[in-house]
Amino acid sequence: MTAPDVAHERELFARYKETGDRAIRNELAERHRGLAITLARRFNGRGEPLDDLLQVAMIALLRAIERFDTERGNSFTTFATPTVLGELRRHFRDHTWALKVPRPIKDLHLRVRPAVAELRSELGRAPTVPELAQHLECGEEDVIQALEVSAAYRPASIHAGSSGGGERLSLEDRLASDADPLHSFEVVQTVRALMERLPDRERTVLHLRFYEELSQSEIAERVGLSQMHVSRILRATLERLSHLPGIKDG
Amino acid sequence: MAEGQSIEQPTGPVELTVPARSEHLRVLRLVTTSVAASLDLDVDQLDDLRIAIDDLCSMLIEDAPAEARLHLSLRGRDGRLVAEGTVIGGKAGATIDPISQLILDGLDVEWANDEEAACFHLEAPRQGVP
Repeated sequence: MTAPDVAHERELFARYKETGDRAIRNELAERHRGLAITLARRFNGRGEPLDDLLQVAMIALLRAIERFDTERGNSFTTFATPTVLGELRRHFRDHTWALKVPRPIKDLHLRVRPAVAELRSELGRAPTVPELAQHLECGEEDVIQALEVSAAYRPASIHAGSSGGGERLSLEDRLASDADPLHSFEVVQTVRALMERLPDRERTVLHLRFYEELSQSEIAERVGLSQMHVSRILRATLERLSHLPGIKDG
Repeated sequence: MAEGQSIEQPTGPVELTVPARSEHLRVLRLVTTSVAASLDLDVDQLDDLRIAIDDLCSMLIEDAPAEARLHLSLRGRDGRLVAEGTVIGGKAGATIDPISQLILDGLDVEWANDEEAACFHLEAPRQGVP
């Protein structure tokens, strides 16, 4: 952000604080929408729809706008990031769990959440694992596993198939299918490194598919190709990736 | 020493080496959480720690060659968890991307990365943060 931008933004915050004008708030939200999207995407692939994550992040962004004080000297981004992250974490803690988690741990997870709230209220601070274990009359290791459920990552690798109605789907199938937007964070991390080795056009198509999460039709419109052509590029690129070192080891 | 006061026993180090691949992130998180829980970090601090470990280990994994291994050392010091991660077996880096930097700076942790040595240092919770 340039110096005039910073000055303009400070003026917007000052005017919003003074007037409470929703149009100004909306302008500020629009200016920082990218931050909310970036942070929401960070939590993508943990079993929650991206739209829901974006909504949580945008609400948190609005809360941050309400509370931001320009006189404290921090940039809004610095102030808002922990707020938005906190809301996203809370959302996961309250609404999700990972697939393939043993039932007893899922059940314990359901008991952990109210226990955290109860102990937080009782102690005036967040509880520790031993306190939770004592409160829930279970082992500390069980509490740790139940907390991990909140993180809800899927530890799939790029070459691992995924179950889908009894049929194992390859990465290629998943990538080429609009029905499965391939949200796994780990897969994206691996693909990012491999993408460096691709020609520009293939890299662009994969980027739009993975990082912008556009459908094949949307990619086609963006790059000026037919949807069928995009589909072929995706398949061919995945085929090519599958022959690069590092993709089939394991 | 006052009556009833015990000498704090050092925790760790707990050493863990796994292939530098993302499917092993879960075990790194679990072990880190387990060690941190023994230091009485609260659930909010554990949440932040898990995110930090994920981001920093992902950073190393991203820059590591296929044959490399990721070594994580965890120990307790003055009620804080100290984690050190490094890549062994192959030329690697530790380049933090701007998004990770933004996220890590928003957590209740202190961290540093060394691009040349392909390693990171993490302490949680922040000193002075209740």
